[in-house]
Amino acid sequence: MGGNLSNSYLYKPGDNHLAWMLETSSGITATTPTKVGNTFNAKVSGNIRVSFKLGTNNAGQTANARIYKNGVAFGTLRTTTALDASPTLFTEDIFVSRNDTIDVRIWQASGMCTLRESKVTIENVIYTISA
Amino acid sequence: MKYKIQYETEEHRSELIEKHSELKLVEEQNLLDGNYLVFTDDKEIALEPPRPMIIMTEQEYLALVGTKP
Repeated sequence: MGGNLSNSYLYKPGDNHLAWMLETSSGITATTPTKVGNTFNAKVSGNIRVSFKLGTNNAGQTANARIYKNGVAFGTLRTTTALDASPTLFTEDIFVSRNDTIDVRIWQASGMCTLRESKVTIENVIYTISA
Repeated sequence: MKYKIQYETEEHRSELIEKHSELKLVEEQNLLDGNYLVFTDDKEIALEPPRPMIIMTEQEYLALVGTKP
């Protein structure tokens, strides 16, 4: 594939699983944004849906998270006081260009916060299946 | 039950969270077709905290409860 192929007409944000960045969970102690999980590499441009669960392991603390595109803070700053046992689910549709990278970074002023199930989902519009 | 409410601005978002403070905010969605907050009124199951383990000898156990485990 040459050039900056735009596949925005081939898929759109949806709930069909495309790739895990973190399939299970990972708790960290970090006071600055720290990457947790793998990096998603876009091979074609278009809109994707990024979601993840976030919770704090310390009652009364606030866990923070943000999507980073090409190593730069990009998505909405997420905060939650929900405990890791019942984390908050965050979902965001974002546009990516070919060769863009996406990762999720988390941090907390004090104590541990946990990221769970960060993933990219889409809805392809190439074909559909019906009964 | 879950309640999904659309919001337009950050101010509107804050108002909704304050207005529904008796509910638990479980999801935030910023999608191409709009921004949403998802609340639930489901009660959280309070897990009993783990009990501390007491290490003792068999003699101490027998002295405490009178019979073998």
